[in-house]
Amino acid sequence: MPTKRHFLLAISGMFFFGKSKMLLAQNLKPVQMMQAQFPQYQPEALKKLAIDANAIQLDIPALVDSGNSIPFTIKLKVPGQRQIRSFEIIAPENPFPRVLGVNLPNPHGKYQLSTRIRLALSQDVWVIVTLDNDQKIANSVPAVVTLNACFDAT
Amino acid sequence: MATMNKYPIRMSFIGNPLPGATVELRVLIGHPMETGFRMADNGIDQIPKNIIEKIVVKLNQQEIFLAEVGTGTAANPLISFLLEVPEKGGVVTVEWFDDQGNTGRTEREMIPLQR
Repeated sequence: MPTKRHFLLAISGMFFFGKSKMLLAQNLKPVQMMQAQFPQYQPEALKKLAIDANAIQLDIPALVDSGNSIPFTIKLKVPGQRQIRSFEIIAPENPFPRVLGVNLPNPHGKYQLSTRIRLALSQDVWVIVTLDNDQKIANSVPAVVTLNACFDAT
Repeated sequence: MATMNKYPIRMSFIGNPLPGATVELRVLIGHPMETGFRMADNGIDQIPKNIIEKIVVKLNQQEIFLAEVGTGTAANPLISFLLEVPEKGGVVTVEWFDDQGNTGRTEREMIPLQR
């Protein structure tokens, strides 16, 4: 037979369930909306690019403790007489996928850049290179992150 | 030369600056790079977004490197790339601009060694 105690427990349970659902929705919705602003950086769009693993060599730790600061090295050496006009680092699962975009006013045949990036989740990090004939080549490298960045107060 | 402001900036050359050789140019900017997603200590307020948007590197007043930085770059951004040493050396200038209107600038002379 339901008592007053059961009734109160059920009511409070429903209240907290509803509250937690609301909180989750509030947290997730803006991130998805932010990522939806950049359809060209979604994984489905990135996989359609021409992949050239010899021209773009990427170096990232395979397993990272903290996603807040990850060393990342790019070595570019494009084939033939082509030159690099710009390149960009894309982390598709981050709230803002474009990590760094570099323009080179003097085009180079080869280039090397190191930096430190943040990753929100374990994901493939992409590099897209634009050549001087507007051709785009890309490559990706997987990284596993044990402590996520961008979302929490750590 | 580090500037004496709130956001220190340091630039260094790694390697022997022989004419025609390449040296590594390292730029380290002491900037918090707040994403705007982090919570303050009370768990309610959000720390306002404050990120560097643009970094410009010039060699002898000519732009050689333009970076558009996003929230995915780590705090205290470090950028290093290879640079060919001109025959007579030159002055390398680094400038950055963030979304709250702060800017920073440093310059350093590259003196080539004689063979």
